[in-house]
Order: sequence, then C-alpha cells, then structure tokens
Amino acid sequence: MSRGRYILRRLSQMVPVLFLLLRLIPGDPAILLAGDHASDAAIAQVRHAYGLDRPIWVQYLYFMRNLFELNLGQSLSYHIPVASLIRQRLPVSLSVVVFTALITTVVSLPLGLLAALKKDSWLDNVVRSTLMITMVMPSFWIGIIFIIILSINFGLFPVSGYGTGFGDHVKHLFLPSLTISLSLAPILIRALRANVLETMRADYTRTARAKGLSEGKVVRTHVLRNALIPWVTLLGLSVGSLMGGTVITEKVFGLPGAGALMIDSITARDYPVVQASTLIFAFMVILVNLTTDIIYSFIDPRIRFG
Amino acid sequence: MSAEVSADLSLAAVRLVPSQRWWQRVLRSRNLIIGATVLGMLVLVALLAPLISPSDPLAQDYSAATQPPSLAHPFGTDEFGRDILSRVIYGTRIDLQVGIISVISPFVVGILLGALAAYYGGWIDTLIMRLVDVVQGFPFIVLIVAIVAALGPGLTNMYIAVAIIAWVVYARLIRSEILVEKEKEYVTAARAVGGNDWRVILHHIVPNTITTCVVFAMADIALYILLAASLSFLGLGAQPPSPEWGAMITEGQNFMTTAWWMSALPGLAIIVTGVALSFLGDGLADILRPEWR
Repeated sequence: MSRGRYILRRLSQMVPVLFLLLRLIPGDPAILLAGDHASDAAIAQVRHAYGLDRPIWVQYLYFMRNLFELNLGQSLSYHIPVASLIRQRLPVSLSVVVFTALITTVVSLPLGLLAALKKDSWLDNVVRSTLMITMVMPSFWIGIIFIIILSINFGLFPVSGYGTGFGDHVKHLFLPSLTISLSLAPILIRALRANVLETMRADYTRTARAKGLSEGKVVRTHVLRNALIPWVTLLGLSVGSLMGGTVITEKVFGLPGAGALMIDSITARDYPVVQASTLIFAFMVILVNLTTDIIYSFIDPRIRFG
Repeated sequence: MSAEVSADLSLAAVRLVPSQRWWQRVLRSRNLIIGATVLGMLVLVALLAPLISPSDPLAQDYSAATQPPSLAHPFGTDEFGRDILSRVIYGTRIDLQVGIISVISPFVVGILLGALAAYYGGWIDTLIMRLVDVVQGFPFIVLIVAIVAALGPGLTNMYIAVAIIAWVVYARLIRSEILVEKEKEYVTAARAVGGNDWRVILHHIVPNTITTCVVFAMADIALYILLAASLSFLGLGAQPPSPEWGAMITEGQNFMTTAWWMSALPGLAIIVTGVALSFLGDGLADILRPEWR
C-alpha cells in the first residue's frame, strides 16, 4: 500500500469519529454553533447554513465536503476561520513535540544502555527506582514544581510564554519539553534495557564474541543496532500518543499552542475549534507514525519502501 | 523401563519447583508485599477519613489562611485556611474510587470484545480491530478531553469517556494472547466434549489468558488517577471545593510563588499511590506470570 493511500485511509477512519463527537454534545448543535445568546432567526440561519435541517446522512456528506475543502468552520470566539487559527498555533505544539523527542532520546539512550550493560549495579537500581517515581508523577504537577524551583527560586528559566526569536523559544520550550520527557522516558528506558539484555543473550552476539571481537565492538555493531530497531518504533508510538501531553503542558507553561487553544475553546464553548483541534492532533499522530517508519528504514537496511 | 521411570521422576522434580503453593509465592514476592501494604494503608486512610483527619476538609478559617506546614497544620493551609492534610486524607477517598471505578468497564468490555475478535476471527475481528485502530489514532488525553468537553465537566462524564475509549487496550492485549492460546489442545478438548462457544471462551480461554490484563489493570488504575487529576487541572474534572488531589494542585498553582505546599503536597499523595500500584502490579506479575521474571 502506498504512503498516500495509507494516510488517506487512516484519515477517513477518523472522520466518522469526529462527526459522532459533534453529535455527542447534548443539546441542539445549531444553538451551540450560533452561540448562547443568538436570536431565533440567527439559529435558524445557522441550522440551514450547516445543513442541520437535513437528514443525518446528508449532514455527514456536508461534513466530509467541508473537511476536504479544509473548511473547518468559523471560530465562535475569535471570529476568524478555524484553519488559520490553528495554523498560527500549530508550530508551537510541533516545536514542543520535536524538542521533547530530542530530550527523551538524549536521556533514554545512554541510561537504558548503561542500565542494561551494568545490570543489577547501583546505577541500574537508581535508574529503575527513579523511573518508577517519575512515571506516576502528574505532568502538570512536575511542571508547577519546575516553575517553583527552577524559574521562581533560581530564575534559570522564564515562568511562562513562548518568547521571540529562536534562542528565546528554545529557552521557553525547555521546561515544557523536559516535563513531557519525564513521563515518556521511563517507558523508553525500560524497553531499551530489556531489548539490550535480550540481544546480549542472542546467538549472533555469542558468535561475535567467540570470533574475538572486542566487547565495545560487539556492543556497538551487534547489540545496540539490533536492540534499537524495535525501540525506535516504540519511541515513535510513544511520542504520538503522548502528543496529548502538550494539551496539559501548554496550559501549565502558558504556551500559545494548539493544545492550549483546544482547552481555551472548551471553556469558551467554541465547538468548531474543539473539533478541528481534535482532528489536528489525530493528524499529528499519523505524521509521527510515518516519520517513525522512515527513520526505521535508515536503521534497519532490511526494510525498503516499495 | 527404568530409564523411562527416571525420566518421569526428573520431569516431576522439575515441575515441583515452580508450582509452589500460591501463598508461598505471595510471601516471597517483595514487590507484592510492599505494594499491598502501602495500598492497604491508603484504603484504611480512605475508610477512616472522618476519624483520623485533624479537621473538616471544607471548613474555612480565614485567620489561619496560607500558613506553611507547622505542628498544628502538618501540610499547611490553603488560601481559605482549610487544613491541607485533612483535604489530602479525604482526597484519598475520591482518587482511589476514581481509579477503581474507571478501570472496571474498560477491563470487562475490552476482554469480552477482544476475546470475541480473537475467537471468531473473520468480519467480527476486522470490525472490532478497525474500531481499536480508529480510537488509538487519537492521543488518549485529547479524545478523553474532547468527549468530556462535549458531555460537560465532572467525574461521572470522565467515567463515561473512559468507558467509551479505554477498552481498546484490553481488547488488543487479550486478543494477541488468545490468538496463541486458542490453538492449544485443551481448547480443542473443551470443544470436543461439547462445550458451546461462550463456555469455551469464558470458562477455558479467558481464565488462562487474563493475567496480562490483570497486571496491566494495576498500572491502569494509576493512569486513571493521573487522568482525573489532569482533567481537574483543565477544569473538566472534580469541581471545587472537592478535595480531589488534582483539583488541590490546580488551586495551589495560583499561589506557587508564595505557598509551594499547596500544590507540592497533594502531588506527593498521587506519587505514593502510583508507586504502590506499580509495586502491586510487579508483584502480581511475579505470582501470576513467573516466566516473566
């Protein structure tokens, strides 16, 4: 199956879910779309404009057509098209995701590898017990604690906001990304440790040792490379699923991203924006999965794109 | 003849070691003992909350507002002068309940649908697994937030959202286990003696494959406590003045420059509960799936 068709299929599976989500909202969608204080005439106009006076399957077709035209509707509170609103906010969320993936990799790779190579040493024990704790820390709590200690007490980082210019952005994004990494890294370090331990027991590793390779070379070329292959997939999947983490972290650190937009729109009862941002997050998950596939093919030469 | 006998004997000897009595394995699992003890204490705290908490979790006392931890208020007080220790103690009731109630529906529904998909295969499998793919295409939190936003804030709607979405993980877990298990001889035997499909699935296959899901459920309870806390933070979960731990952390956020204890200490309660559940999960894995060790 070609890449494009895969994306299309995944997206077309998401669309009914979003449609259902809109239907799930209790009350008349026309009133929700028109706003709480709209006049009867305005409500009737919205009902007609959105096709809400038509049979449900016709409504579904309308919904599909609007999606295809990237017509995500009009924001009720910002009074601009939802698509352009999201286009402004998305880069912030994407930067958080990329930065998080970077920090997580830089932290997890050495720790997972060392924990496995020095199995049952003090280092392994410290790493494993720390992970047990960081895994169950609520991310917004870590965020608040980071702000209290690092930003307020030591003044190392800005308390909130996004800043201007690349250097300033990096400074503002470091703590939010680190916060998400803390809940992401435990899964990845544990998995890498398990993978490395498994490949160390594999027959080809014993063969490599038996033919007289140095331990460093065995680890580099035989153990690490094979242990990394399933690990990269897991990294991609986790980054994809923890994309949701940006929703919370952006709120903690006052970042103007798509996640914060979604939450603010819920409070403002701006349903077109809520719906569109849900779709965007699903799209980002697909994007991350595809990136994972491509990185995968670099590490594992057995995989080729047809 | 004698060679056969000794072969049998040595096989029996090999089997004897892992099949200790279950309580022997319980006593030998340090993880299980630590996890069960801490969790047992938390349940006691929840049950005895009115007896052991120093004061009413909702009682306001403006003369004692935003005080740091002291002997009179070991966890300090919040901006209304409410005793934070009492609130954390009462919060145990809410958060343990949230974790346990949330896990029930996904566990039962996921196992049933996953078992159906794996046992029958064909279009039933395709339909159920396609649904699983769709749900897993969204980030978990985003979908929960969207559904709770549509239904309105509150813990009840969080239970509904979790029930709609979270079964997919269990369905996927048990499906992969059953696909292997259903080829085994005892399943054929159970069918051969005339067991109908439901009997074979519920009495034979599920009991032999459920342990992974049970172990996973422990971690999941911790996840739902985190989820409830996060929803409170986003204004979609427990509403003030509820002493739900996440709601308390959120209230404290406004005072983080002046009163660190308001956010920090309820967060510790979540961590202690989560770590206890991790120990319990690892301990159950030690007992139920000794081959994982």
